Amino acid sequence: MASDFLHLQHRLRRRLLARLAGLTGAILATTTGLLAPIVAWAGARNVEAFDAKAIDLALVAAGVADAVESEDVILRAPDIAENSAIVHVEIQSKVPDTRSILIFAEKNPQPLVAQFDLLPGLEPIVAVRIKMAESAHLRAVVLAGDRKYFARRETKVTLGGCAG
Amino acid sequence: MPDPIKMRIALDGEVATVKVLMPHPMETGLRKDPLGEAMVPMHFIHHVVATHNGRTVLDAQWSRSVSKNPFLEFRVRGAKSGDRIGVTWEDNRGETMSLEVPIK
Repeated sequence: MASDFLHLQHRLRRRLLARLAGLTGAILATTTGLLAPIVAWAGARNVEAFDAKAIDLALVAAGVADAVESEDVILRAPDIAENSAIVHVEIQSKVPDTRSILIFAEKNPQPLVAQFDLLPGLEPIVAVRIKMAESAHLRAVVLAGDRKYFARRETKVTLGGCAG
Repeated sequence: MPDPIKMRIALDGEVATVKVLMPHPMETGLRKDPLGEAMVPMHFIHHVVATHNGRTVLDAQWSRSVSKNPFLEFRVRGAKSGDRIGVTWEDNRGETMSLEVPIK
């Protein structure tokens, strides 16, 4: 009896603490907003996916290993890149309600290069310049609700090394 | 401290194409210093946020595989002359830089 009561009390306290923590977070966010109007860090970093050291592990950690290849994901990159330290990559999605675009360089030491979370008002197209460790397939993954699609293409690099 | 962000915006109808250059060394931590002794420590932008009139439209997580002096292009719809486009980056050392400019 007494232990049941203690257990309930413990649960209530935990719930209250969780609620307080949420509230503090909201206040902190507002304060930060006042100081620096542009900072509204939304997405939490998927550290496990970024740290993964092989493409299959990175895909699993990012939760996109089951993505389906689709022509609605358009991945533009050079067939041959003269400088492996500057490879221009553009990803366009024709999938309705695209929320995120991920780009992987399959043979980089850590294959996940970037994740772009798109909020309302952004066209589903981004371009970025990336480093490639060696000639490899690039893979773009698009997330739209529960749906996951990808495109893949090979880019050869003639000047090696991703150190630069 | 790295140089300021550079931003170029082209408005076509209601779509603003934004091109951004963010001067930053983007060190991978895999490169030796010029003397060939110590490794240059990892130093890279890991988070970028873009805003339209103060509202976040793009939230990006990056790895050290993004090129030195990163180039980023994105398109904002529902944009008009006078609207403000902002970009903020934060690197793995906690340094940040922001730029907000009006669309001409």
